[in-house]
Amino acid sequence: MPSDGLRTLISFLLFLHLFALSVAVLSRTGTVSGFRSALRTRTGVSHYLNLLGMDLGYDFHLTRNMPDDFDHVVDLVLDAPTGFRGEQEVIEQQQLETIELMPEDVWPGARKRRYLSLGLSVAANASNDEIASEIPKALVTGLLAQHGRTDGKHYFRCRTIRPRNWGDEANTDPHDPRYYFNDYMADVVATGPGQWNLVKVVSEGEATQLQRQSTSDPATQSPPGSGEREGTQP
Amino acid sequence: MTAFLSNYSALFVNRFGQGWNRFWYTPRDGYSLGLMRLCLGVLLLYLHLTYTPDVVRFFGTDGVISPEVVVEMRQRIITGEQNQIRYTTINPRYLSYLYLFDDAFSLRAVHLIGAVILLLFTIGLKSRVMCVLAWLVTLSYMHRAPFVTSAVEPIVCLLLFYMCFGRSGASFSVDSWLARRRAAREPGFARELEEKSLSFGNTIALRLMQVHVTVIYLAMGLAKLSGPPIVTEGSAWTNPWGAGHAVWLLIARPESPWVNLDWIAGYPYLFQSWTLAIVVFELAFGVFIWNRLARPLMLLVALPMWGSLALISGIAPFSVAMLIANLAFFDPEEWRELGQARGAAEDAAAESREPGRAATA
Repeated sequence: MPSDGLRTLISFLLFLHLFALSVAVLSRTGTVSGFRSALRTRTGVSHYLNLLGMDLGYDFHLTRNMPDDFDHVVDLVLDAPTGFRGEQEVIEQQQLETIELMPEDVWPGARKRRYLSLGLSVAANASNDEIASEIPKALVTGLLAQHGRTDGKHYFRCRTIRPRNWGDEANTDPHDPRYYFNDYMADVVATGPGQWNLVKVVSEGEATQLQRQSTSDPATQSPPGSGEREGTQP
Repeated sequence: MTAFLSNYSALFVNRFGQGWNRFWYTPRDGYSLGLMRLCLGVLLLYLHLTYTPDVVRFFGTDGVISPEVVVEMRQRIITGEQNQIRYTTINPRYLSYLYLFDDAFSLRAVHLIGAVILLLFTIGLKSRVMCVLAWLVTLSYMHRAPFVTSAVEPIVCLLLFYMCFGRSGASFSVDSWLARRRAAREPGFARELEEKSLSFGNTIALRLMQVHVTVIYLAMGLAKLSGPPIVTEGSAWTNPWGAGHAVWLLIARPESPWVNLDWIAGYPYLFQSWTLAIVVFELAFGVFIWNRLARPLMLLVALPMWGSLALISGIAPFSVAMLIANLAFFDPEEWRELGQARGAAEDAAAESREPGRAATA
């Protein structure tokens, strides 16, 4: 056993660490009070745990039946015609080239999970107008540069694939269009060679929502992150 | 009354101090840590190598995860405040060496060096140094690409961090093999090795892991019992863990699961029981793992629990990481004692049935 002095020092450090950990967990659990939030942000707890990669609530729920818990796929339709809004028929008729963020048959599972997480990052911020285009812009810039495109007009979209209801018929194709919901869509316009600007496409659902909000009817708001409904909700 | 208070406070402080010292500082061998290091190393190598095809695609000059967007989003996300930065966190650029490289060659080179470090950590060569370096490598990827990390990275990071305090190279390692060879040649070194085999550093490492893992299990269990932090007015939402269809929601995601279990849709009672079992297990683990008798049961039940979750949710690395974290509670000596206790109990029962038989045996 170590000496008394060393034990005292280690015990003090253990206490500080466990205190920081408990503050991080409690400040993300349940209804977060201002006190708990301030404890985390103003005492250096957040900085310390962020440094160690431990600034988390560890409330891994796996699924809560919320948009954030589903699979999200990102793609970019190249040389999209004016007014294009992701219609599959137009892609097929005009044979538009589509770049999927996640390579086809990506393997192994850990790699696939990273691409799905990237899609989730887009979807999770889609409802915040100020930052919604930050990650998509980075993805678009990278993807187009990797495909040697420096100009043109393209169409970016991030879609949620909702899981089937267990009451659905057993053989339903999980990739059926009715399970796809748009999270974030944007027209990608070149502002210079290799420089892109994303103009967010306000979906029909969002437009309706904005209109309703302007008439001060808060009860009609849809959940955060739920984009335009492309099909029938399963 | 004063005498009672004085005696009680003295006794309380004394007993608490003894308990605290016993809990954190009783020296332990490095068997469990060594086993954890080996398993964790294999998992880390797998995670690292799966980055290989994407390292330039993600972090290169034309990469899809530019450093600017990470810095921008990281600062905003951590505030938790929409449209507002209330405080600035540590700039992620200072937390990852990957920000220093963006051309394909240097990125591949540092990626390779990272793989070598993780390999040396796995086999246990210069374990203490490699443990710290492996932690830095893992942390660097986590801070460079927070958008592609999932639940597994924080778990492996905390295990690595705590492992740095103990002697993870004391078993299942090249270090221990070399030390045994040297001890066979030099009797003096053999004595020194014997004295060093028990260390309070191992105890602190394992205890920190145990406490942290318990917190994780309880947080996961309680999160499943409660709703999401924000439920917008007017939206219909049911807690899938309470309603019993959470397992189905995991199975029905088209891209995530590793096996197709669509047939389970025809047996709602099966996935409802499965859902309930997961919640009960996570809450029970956080409590009963501290009971000596229940501990082996909890550890054994964790195997099918995490194994099945790995298949249906596609989060196999996370499941494996949690199983490795559970090893912090594995003490071979304790299991041996429990086995002997069973033998003693059987002997006692036999003695009560047929006096003298057990003694003869």
